[in-house]
Amino acid sequence: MPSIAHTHAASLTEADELQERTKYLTFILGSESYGLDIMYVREIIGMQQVTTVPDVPAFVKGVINLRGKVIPVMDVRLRFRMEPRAYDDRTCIIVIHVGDWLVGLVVDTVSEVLDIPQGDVEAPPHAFGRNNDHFIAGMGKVGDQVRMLLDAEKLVGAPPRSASLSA
Amino acid sequence: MDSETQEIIDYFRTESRESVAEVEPLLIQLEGGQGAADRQTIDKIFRLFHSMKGSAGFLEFTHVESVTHHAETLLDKVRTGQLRLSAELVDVLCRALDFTNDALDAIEASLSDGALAGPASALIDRMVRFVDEAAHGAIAAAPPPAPPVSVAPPPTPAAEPAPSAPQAAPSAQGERLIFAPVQAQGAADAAAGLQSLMDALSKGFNPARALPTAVEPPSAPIPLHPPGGRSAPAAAPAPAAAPPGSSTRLGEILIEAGLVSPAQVEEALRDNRLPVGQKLVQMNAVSPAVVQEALAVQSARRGEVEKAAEEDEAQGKRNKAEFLRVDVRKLDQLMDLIGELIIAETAVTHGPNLTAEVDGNHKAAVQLNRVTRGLQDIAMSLRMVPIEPTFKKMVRLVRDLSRRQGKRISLEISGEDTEVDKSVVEAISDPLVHLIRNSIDHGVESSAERVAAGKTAEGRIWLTARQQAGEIRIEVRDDGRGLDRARILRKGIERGLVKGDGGDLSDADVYKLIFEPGFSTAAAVTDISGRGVGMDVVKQNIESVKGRVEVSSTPGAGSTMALRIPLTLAIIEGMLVRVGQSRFTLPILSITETVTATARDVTRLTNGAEVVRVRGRLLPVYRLHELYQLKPDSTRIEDGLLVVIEDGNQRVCVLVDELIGQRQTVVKSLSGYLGSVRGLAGCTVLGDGSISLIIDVAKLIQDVYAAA
Repeated sequence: MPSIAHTHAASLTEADELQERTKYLTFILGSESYGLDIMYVREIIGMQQVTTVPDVPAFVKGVINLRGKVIPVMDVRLRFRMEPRAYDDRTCIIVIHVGDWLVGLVVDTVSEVLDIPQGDVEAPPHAFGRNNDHFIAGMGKVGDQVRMLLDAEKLVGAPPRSASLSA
Repeated sequence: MDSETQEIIDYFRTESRESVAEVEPLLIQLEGGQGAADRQTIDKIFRLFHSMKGSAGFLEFTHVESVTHHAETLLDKVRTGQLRLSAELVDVLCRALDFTNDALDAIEASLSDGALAGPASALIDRMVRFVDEAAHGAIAAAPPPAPPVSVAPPPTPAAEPAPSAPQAAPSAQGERLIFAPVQAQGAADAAAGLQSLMDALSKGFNPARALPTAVEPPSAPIPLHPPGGRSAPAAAPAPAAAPPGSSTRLGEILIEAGLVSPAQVEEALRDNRLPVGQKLVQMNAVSPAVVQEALAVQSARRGEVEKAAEEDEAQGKRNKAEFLRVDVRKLDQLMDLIGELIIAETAVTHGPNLTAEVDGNHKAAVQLNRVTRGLQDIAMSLRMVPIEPTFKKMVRLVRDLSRRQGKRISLEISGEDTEVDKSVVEAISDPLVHLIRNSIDHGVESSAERVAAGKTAEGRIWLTARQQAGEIRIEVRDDGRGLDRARILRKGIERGLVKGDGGDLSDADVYKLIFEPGFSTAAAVTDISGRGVGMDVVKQNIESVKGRVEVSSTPGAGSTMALRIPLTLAIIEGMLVRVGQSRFTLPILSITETVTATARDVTRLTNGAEVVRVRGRLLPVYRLHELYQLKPDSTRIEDGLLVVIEDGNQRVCVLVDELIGQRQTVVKSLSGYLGSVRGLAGCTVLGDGSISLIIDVAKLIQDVYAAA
């Protein structure tokens, strides 16, 4: 118990210090760069052997064995309705912890961890009404570039319901 | 609040909850039969209340303390025969248990039972009224004096004035009754108060040891040795309390046998120079041979008494020495680690490097395998608990509900010593309540109806548990009117759950409708309304532990609800099979055989389904690769293997490319994120780190038959 209380306290003070800035893990899909609040990120691993599971949405590729833990992985490209791309040795799985779940996110590649001041984050543009806008929590301006900052909770979303077996 | 106090309170809560759970069925059992044998039960209930009181007093939960104190007082009066254990009295005592439960809830939430002042005082008023009635109506309500023969020599010095004991049994009774109220109101209360104070003091910081023995009255008469007729009078209990036929006193044995009169024994006892037997012979009351015989009886009885005492003691020791409270989380962690160990062990023993036989290696692998199995068995058994407490809770439920409905129903429990995983116990508790309530509400008819139908006036509900082929089977059966197929069907059609007139549905399919969410059996099955107990909740709970519910019913003769739950949720014996690149696990227990088929054995039905003839039976073929969209080695049945799997008496052939072998399989749930996935019971991690999906055989077979 004490150890948990301790880490908790530590993360609180950390949060206090960083009130104005948030660290984002950025990754690449195609030509775009996205950011994910580092608070959610557990680890980054290379592509694994994925066991497919029936009756789940296409963006859920299946499950992987993460040191004895079985966790689902989703292909973020498919989640964003982008063209699928063959996995290669740069393909990564970002393991994130959202709610009660560990979920792996398959991305083209991971680039860096960025410190983005809150002042440089703008609200997402609603105007375009594209179907994946709701995953975006904000637009982070880094130099002359823009990173789309993702809302991890919405990205993972509610568990995909599978069709019931019984008639 | 320091953590130590918190710990003590937590301990008190668990302890008290267990006590309540233990007392409840005992109370109801008492209500049923009354007699000397119940004396022990009363003592036991008394002790449980007493230890709760002691701990509550120490922790300053005053309301719990005073309620349990009054309950204890009531029980004490029952014990001394001043109160009869009427249904009302049992009611009040049950309320006291309910109150205690509420108070424990409150304590859990706010660390105080202060919020319950109102209910506590109302309840105490009710209990005090009983005591008052006992005091006033004592003589009228007094039970007839116990068998008049069992008159002992003047029991205690305090009772010395007790006059001519010979025929004085009734008057001795009367005497006790006269001073009893005084004792009850004054002395007993003061004594009890003092006692609880002393308990609290003597317990120090461990309220769990509530020292029940300190107040336990001597439950068996202290045997008086013939040579010292009056030498041990101090603790002799009231004579009326000793059940006939159990006395170990020589004089009483002789009186019982009708060989001497109580007067003669009395006289013999006055002379304390000689043993009673010798004196009686001297008085020419009996022959020496008779005395010898009586002495033989005496020593036999003493043996029994001592044996009983030893057993009690042994029981006590067992409880103390062999149980250890362990945080369930630690057990879960242990299970997880053992799961990992088994996976690692499989990786080692089934690894490609080991198959090349290096001499010592193989031996070591076998040994490792043996040890891990042993470890696994022990760890599994740690989580196993008897189902008894869960079953016992139903006793009260049946009593209360049947009374409220004016029905006469008896509950028969069997197999309560069956052990199940702790998570299973938690999962079945609510479903059992639902099922039993349903049986009482809808299943069992009123006495009049039953008699008219030629049944016994008293309805019966059976609650049974047993192990059966890797499963635990819990049944709630009643001998009531059974389910009404026509009405369920009508309701199903009304709600659009059934297409057509449902005439082609089997009974089992119709009964399944009652598990549909919101399916109101109230309107469908009987006229009793206003329930809304969801059978769908039953189904959900049972499915959460990978179990299923089966319904069977005979109109007019009763219905049976069977809960079938896998014995262990964590590790199963599995058969690993391969379909293309994927590997699946089938539980060994559901595999009956593996066969190869030729093209001639296969028949393709008009709807595209295939059946194959196995040992004269036509079985449907299920192609795993179709469900999982895999690419098998071959789609031709004659190229692969057919694994025959069975659930109940339904069988299906599963087409696979290859059998890989039998494996100890650690069941992991597919991530909660995915929810429950069609036809899968979970997954497991194989020795090489890849994942194998575990087939839920029952669901799969259900699926095949539903599609057919």
